[in-house]
Amino acid sequence: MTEIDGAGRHELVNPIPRPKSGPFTVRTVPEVEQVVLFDNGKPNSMAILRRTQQLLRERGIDVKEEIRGKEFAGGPVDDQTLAMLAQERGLLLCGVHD
Amino acid sequence: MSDYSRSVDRPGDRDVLADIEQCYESGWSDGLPVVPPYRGLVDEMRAAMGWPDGDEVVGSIEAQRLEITADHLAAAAVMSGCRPEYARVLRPLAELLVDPEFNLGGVEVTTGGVAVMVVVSGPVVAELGFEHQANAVGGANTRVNATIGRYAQMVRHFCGRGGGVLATHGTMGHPGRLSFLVAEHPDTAWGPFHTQLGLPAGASAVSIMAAEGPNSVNNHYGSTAEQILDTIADCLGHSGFTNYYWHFGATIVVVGPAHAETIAATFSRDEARRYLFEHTLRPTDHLAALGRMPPEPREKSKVEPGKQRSPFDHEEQLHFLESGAPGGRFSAIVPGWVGNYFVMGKVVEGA
Repeated sequence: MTEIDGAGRHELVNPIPRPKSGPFTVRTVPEVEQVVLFDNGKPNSMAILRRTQQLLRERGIDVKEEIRGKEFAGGPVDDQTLAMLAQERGLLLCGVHD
Repeated sequence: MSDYSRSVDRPGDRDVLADIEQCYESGWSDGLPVVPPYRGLVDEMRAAMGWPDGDEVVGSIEAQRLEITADHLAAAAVMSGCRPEYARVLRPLAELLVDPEFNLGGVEVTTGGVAVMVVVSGPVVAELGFEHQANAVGGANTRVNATIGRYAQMVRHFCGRGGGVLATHGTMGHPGRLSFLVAEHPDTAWGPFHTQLGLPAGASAVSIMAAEGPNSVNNHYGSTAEQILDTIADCLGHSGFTNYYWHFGATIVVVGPAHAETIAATFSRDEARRYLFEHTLRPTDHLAALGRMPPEPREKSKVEPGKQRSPFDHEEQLHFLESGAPGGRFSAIVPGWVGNYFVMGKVVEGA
């Protein structure tokens, strides 16, 4: 709630919900030299990721074999998958478009 | 009718234009000027919507850890220009918008650029004076249509890009992202729209679907149901129709009164739905040759080379809505978002 001038009768009500999440940690540098790919479920993304995996390996980069993905392209990553991704120590690449 | 001058805490000598600008500067806008959400107006709207406590959590978007309160939802109603007497529609509409099944976050972020299409049907259409004839599919220029339609988009925006917690990636978008409400005729040939969702025929209802923009269907000289439906099927079955690949989205066919009279003389609603389903087929291989199928289709999209393909997995994805003005022989189709499977509806209480 925001008060423009401190007068209650002139108060403007904030219409925008804010996230309630607690503190979280972001690792910006991978702990191991490995690329981990994540499929966002878009129609062509798995094909693109498989090709990416192949190209990176041809250049000598370690890429994890398993490509996990979202159950449903139009929805968010579920909590269980998110927790598994949070355990990854390599460089996580995700979000290939259509 | 509510009288703001009697019943609520007025802004008094405040500079309302400055407050509108303040809303812009705070990001409290859908791009158009808003009614500033003064506490007195919001309290009155919230009471009309049936929430005594402004901090009551009405819904949440788990992935963003958002909790949406009664005050948020009532403030957006004030800001979009709604009157308290619209609350009997706004309350169930708000509950639908924040229902996790609707996936409001997905609607906001998708490259599909979809809007929240609001459908109002049953006796409430006449009771609140919704325009259901002239320009009924968009731009009806009546307050109740425009502001309730705007409300749905505003809630989406404030829970998404407008609130800074989600990006929006709509490649094209469409004007309905500002306001998109269609009211059905109080008297219909096939029964109220909401009966297709399992709601009682005698009830009033508000329904929502994540929707692409409407496409007009013109057939002035066809005199048979088949001619009209073939024309609608052709519009549904064009190769750029989004649903051809994923197959998940619902679609609403808005049938104008002249077309409805012609079709209903021959077909029941179920028969017309079946006819459309069967007449939107295209060769899968042709769609693939055009690039409408990815090289490695997902199993759930059920792509079968060599076979005919409908843009719908099953005919129940098609819904009919009777609306529009007499005079012209037009209908319209409104394709749904492929990320939602359905149209959702709730009964509107009270009178």
